[in-house]
Amino acid sequence: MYVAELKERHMAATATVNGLRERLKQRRQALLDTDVAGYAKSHGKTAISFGSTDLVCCRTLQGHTGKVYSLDWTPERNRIVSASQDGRLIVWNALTSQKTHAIKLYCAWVMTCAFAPNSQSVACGGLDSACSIFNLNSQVDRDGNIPVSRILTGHKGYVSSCQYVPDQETRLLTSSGDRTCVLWDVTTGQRISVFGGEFPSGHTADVLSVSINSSNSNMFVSGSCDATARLWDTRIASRAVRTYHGHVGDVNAVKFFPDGQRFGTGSDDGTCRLFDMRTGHQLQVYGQQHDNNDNDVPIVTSIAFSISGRLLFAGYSNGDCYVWDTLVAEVVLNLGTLQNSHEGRISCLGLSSDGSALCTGSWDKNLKIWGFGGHRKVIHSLR
Amino acid sequence: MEAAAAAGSEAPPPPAPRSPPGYPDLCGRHRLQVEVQILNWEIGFLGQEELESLEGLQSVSGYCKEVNEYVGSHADPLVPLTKKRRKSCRIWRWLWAKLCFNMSWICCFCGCPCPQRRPICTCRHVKNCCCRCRHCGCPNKNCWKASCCRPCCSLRSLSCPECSCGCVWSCSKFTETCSCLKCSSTCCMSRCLCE
Repeated sequence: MYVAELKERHMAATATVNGLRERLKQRRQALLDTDVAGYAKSHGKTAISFGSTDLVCCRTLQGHTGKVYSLDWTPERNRIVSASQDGRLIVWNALTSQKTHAIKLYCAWVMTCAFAPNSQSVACGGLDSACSIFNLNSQVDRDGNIPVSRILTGHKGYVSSCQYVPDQETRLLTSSGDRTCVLWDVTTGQRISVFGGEFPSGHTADVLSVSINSSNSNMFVSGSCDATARLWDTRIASRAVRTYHGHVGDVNAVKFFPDGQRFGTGSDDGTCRLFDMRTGHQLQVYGQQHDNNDNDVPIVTSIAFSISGRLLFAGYSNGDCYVWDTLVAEVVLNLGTLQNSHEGRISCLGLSSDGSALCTGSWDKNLKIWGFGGHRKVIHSLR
Repeated sequence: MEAAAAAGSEAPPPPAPRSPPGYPDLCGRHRLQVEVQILNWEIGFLGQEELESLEGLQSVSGYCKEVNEYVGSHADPLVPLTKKRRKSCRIWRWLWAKLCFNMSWICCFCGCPCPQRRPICTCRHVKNCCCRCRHCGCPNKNCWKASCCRPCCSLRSLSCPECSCGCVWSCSKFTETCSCLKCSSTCCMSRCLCE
């Protein structure tokens, strides 16, 4: 086929795709009769009111000598692993603030870390394009360092995010600057599936974040520099299940809503959004008005939902950490203005497994744990 | 000889360098072919699957309702409790607010009759009783009522580090104790998290 004919076909196909996308957009618009805030307010919901001491900084975890880039809680036993520009992973006891492990990494340019479901191993990855696994029970080497147990190689770009599949110590999901996500078998070091890349429905730019559905661990979402989020089924690697449009900037963070039917995103465009997983509907935008001439709209770096989904915690590049009331789409608290708040960009945040504490990590080299300090019922025991 | 001489005068020209043949731009054509294939795939996907999937979908309000119902049916340790107040209390509260403001020394004890008093423990004051009348704004350091003091940190429901029993941590300044279901001891933190 001649190049000229190919170019004509390319132009025609592009026009057809654009036309179909416009039709899709109009169909969705027709179904958009309200959003979460509109529905909630019409049913009498009002914003949560936080008192000045309702959410307080309970702990400051100091020890890193570089910017904190990532953190993850254990599913139990209340420990936190953090990754920093100083080239170390530190494992903290959240209750006592003590460091239980400090792991010096071969590659200092780490971008992500994660705790295994059994809390015995941690994984990390970064600019070395590989994911390293460390067993916390390993004997230290002559230099006092924990040796790496396994290195997962195969990505052709930096590893931006990693997460263990819930309740499966042997399955790890990573996202990468090579536009793919990969599901790994940690015991063999082999790639089980590659999501995206050569397949047409994959991301068309760096993938920055992943979140696995805790209600159905076969499903996960990814966020990318192509301004979309995509839903994947780990059993069908050849194509994305659905693509979610709406953001106008890199999608830096994705997190499933507690019900497993929706997920949130955070973006360079300064907004967070709530999407319905099954239908693709954009249910709500969480953002604040900015002047058109304002080029310094803080970007959303990280998000987390409270255990009921009522609160959306969003970390921003300017050090703010907004607490959004998800039902009425209003900011009810800014942790960045509270006593003992961070002094730099919030780079990561995460909720403890029981939802009672939030940990934030920052470029100020610290991590902070926030908890509820107001009036509550006392619960004597948990089963 | 003359033929040989004639042949020598008609010798072929010496070889000269030639430009390489013009090869077709295979990379560009291949790239275009791939792109056209991807676009055709996307046409099929958008047309057949995406548009069809919208048929029969309910409007967004239905899914917003699901979100509201889910949030409303789940407790959240980080969400403040709200109490409904009866209208009849408003006048009383207004009156006490006026009195407390002017006679703060009356309000600042644990038996403060100020109906809007709400014991608030701040991390700073947990070692001393933290009973504080919200309207008076004056802390009382000699509180004797245990119920006045609340642990200021919310990591109460975290597991005991020793036995992961899910036992509730208790503050040594707090009269209520934790009984661990697994180890039958007060296994939780022996000191206030806020110290």
